[in-house]
Amino acid sequence: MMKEDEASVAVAVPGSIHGGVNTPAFLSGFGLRLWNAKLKLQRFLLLACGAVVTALIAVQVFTRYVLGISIFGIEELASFVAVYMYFIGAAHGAWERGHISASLIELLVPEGRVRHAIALVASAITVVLSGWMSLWAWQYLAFTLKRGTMSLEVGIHMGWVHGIMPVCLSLMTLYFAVELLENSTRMFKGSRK
Amino acid sequence: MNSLIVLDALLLTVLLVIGVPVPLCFAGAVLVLMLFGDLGAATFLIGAGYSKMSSLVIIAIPLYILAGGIMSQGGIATRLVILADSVFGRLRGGLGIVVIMATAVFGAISGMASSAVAAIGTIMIPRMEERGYSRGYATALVSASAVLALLIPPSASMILFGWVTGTSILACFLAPVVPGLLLCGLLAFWNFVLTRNMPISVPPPLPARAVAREVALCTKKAAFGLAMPLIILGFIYGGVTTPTEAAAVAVVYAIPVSIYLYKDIGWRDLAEVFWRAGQTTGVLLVLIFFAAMLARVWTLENVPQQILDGFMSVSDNPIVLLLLANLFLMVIGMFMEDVSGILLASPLLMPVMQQAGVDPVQFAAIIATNLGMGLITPPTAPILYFAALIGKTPLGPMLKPTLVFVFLAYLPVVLLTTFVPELSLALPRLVLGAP
Amino acid sequence: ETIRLSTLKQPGSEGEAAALKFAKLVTERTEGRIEVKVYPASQLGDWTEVYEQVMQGAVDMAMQPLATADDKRLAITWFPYAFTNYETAKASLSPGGAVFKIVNEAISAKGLTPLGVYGEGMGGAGFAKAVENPADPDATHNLKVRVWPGGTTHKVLLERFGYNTATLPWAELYTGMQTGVVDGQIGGTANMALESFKDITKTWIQYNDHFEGDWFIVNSDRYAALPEADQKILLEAAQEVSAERFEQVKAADAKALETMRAAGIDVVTFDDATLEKLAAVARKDVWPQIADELGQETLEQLKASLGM
Ligand code: NA
Ligand code: NA
Repeated sequence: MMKEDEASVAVAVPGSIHGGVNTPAFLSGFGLRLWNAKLKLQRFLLLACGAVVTALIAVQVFTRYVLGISIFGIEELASFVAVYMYFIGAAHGAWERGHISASLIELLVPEGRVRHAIALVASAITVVLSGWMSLWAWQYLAFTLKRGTMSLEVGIHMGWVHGIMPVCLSLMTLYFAVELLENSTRMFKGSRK
Repeated sequence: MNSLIVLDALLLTVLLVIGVPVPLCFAGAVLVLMLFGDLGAATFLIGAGYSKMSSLVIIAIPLYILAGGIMSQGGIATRLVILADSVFGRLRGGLGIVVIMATAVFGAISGMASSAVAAIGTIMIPRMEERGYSRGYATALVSASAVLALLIPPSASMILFGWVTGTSILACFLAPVVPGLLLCGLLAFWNFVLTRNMPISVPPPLPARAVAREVALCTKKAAFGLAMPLIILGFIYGGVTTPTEAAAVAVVYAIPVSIYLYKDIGWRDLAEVFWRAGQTTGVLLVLIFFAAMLARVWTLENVPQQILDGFMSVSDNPIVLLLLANLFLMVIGMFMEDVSGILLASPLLMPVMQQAGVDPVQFAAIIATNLGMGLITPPTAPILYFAALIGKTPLGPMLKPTLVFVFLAYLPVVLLTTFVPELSLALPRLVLGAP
Repeated sequence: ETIRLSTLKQPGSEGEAAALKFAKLVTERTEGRIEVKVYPASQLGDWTEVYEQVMQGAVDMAMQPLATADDKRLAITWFPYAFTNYETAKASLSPGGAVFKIVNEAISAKGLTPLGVYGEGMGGAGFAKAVENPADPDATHNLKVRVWPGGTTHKVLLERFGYNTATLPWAELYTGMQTGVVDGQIGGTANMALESFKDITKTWIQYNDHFEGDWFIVNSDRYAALPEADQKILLEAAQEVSAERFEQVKAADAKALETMRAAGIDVVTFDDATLEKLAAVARKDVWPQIADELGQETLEQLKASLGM
């Protein structure tokens, strides 16, 4: 059996060496349970999407190579499920502070107020940019809905697919905002000392 | 070069340096051009990002991450290491060779350097330290070898390169193999030199017969792991599946091997591997999403052409152009990991490569070796830092051996790959026939 | 001002030359008021994506196929055996022609204006293997042919002609044919096969299954915002390029087939009677199955235009 910490290190994304997760410190009781349930749901969906994508592609190999037929639409469906996986995973990664970052601050600036200030600025910019991109994604969804785009093969309304982008980008913004809150609290506490 | 573009590149650098997550650095660079450029409505960019990331070709990336995750958690990596140990472990400096060989073989299963660090590093770093290697050196060697996962197929970076540039992914897989093997040799050589004065204990020599018996036993135990690259590559090059489909086959194969044959993990662990792979994928793919947006805006603003013009104003000699392109890649590699680097640099440098008469397949090998090197060159050296985290080592003692590996192993390979086309083109030609 | 025009055509191809000629005509006739910048080789995204961008006005113009994602009637532009010869294709795809009218009606509702059609040529299928009895629509071939995503029309057509079909992303098609994941591909012309699959094509069958055309489309708002005189210049330039190409397209196809033969590819062509037979089989057996791809009403319009 693998150990818990080993597992999380093993597939973590390199680049980020930050600790902690973005759960608001003020949450407790029912609110916290709800928050954690949402994270559990995200993980379940990631698991499900991964399994479904694998299964769909494997079925296509089997039918084409063994039975000599191709089922139309399998690839399209797989790519839709994959897009769900990508965005749900990206949002979960924002909660876990797992996003790739190239920060040189840890190397250049000693631990202390200046570094905290820079981290604060960086996370503020992150929230603004993430929010802005969410807005674009909502607008794009609106365009898709107005246009009435249907998928080429399966024939489902593309709003169902494009919709996952604004939802998860907004969720990402929320997680980044929690990080901003924590950074500003740290900064604020530091200045009172 | 247009001043708005220069400003944009500067902003991108500042955002990167202060620690804004890379995908959002790209978003920032996009936003500035949309606000101050003349590109009209912005929402189409979401469509551009979506269209890149929803490609079926890209699905290979999560599937290989998943397969690699199951392999490393499911005991297949351990058995590969034990096998390599039975072959090389009794040589002087042999554990170093074990790391290099085990990583190369593991690389033939896994598509990413990070999973190689995790799989090989967790096992090998403590073991090397036990036998007298310095911990810093052991960690540095693991990180330098881990890049092999990117050079030996399958490789997430090569899938991306093929996808971004419209080059055959099968050819891109094969292009960096010979440079990768060359790198193995150079790493092994410098391993021998650097460990000369370490107080290494080598297990007592065994009679050849006993060694052979041990190797045979270990090979048997590792057989299901060793079969994996054969299945993947056999399926792809044998015309059974596309690279994407081979990844799905690998996942389907790895599950019963890990759970029922090796019994190292159970269904619960597998569930965790699945959702973690989903997260890793999401983090990478959102990078692709925003990088595709930035690449699109830069194309609309003619940046690739401007870069070519800039290079050409220095010289139109192909050798100079190639050196400049490598310098450009090296700078990118210093500040970015391979995925962002490939997404950003390959469309930008494509016109330069065409001008210099370089085959896109060779360009794949150039970019793989160069940005692979970037993974362990500070300041931004994700694989080096990740290895430090796994090896629980401060960076200080890792730096000296890392510099040796970078300047005396990687750099020569990068230059050879750049100036000897045969190195990267011979194998694709042999396997796939004429271009 | 600058108009951005996107095309799939590769640098150096006849299609790119046509786009550049259009650009040159516009610049000359507007005395430099309008400059058309051509982005070749799908630099601005694949065609379904660019189609959307032209709708949004992010890209001003495109010369490319039409995406069926928001109007399936547009499948008429590649509907199998809608035309079997160049003359009917030209008549139907010129302003006032049956297909041009249907397309104009469909896409103007989406904020797009068609200006002309660049005729790429008559379609066919390329194989990495030999094909036996290609002229017999009732033969059974043990061959997997790749159909493009969304190409349900040709999936049904090929299955009627005795092939197996497979779906594969375009990016994996070349190596897929090379390694044998699939045996052939359909959806383009001889010229396009030469451009993308020359080295691995063993057999080319000139089925004349569809007429491949790239539509000059412009964002309607962008177009309306131009002075009327400039609108006219754009329209006439596109028409001129289109008309000139329709004169050459038959010869261009013939030349491509010659190039194929010279490269050692086994080129199969059919006489008029065989083509008519294939078309009759497709119209009788395939059309009823794929009527939904087009909509019954549009299919009736098409039939009427063919005198059926
Ligand atoms: Na690999
Ligand atoms: Na670096």
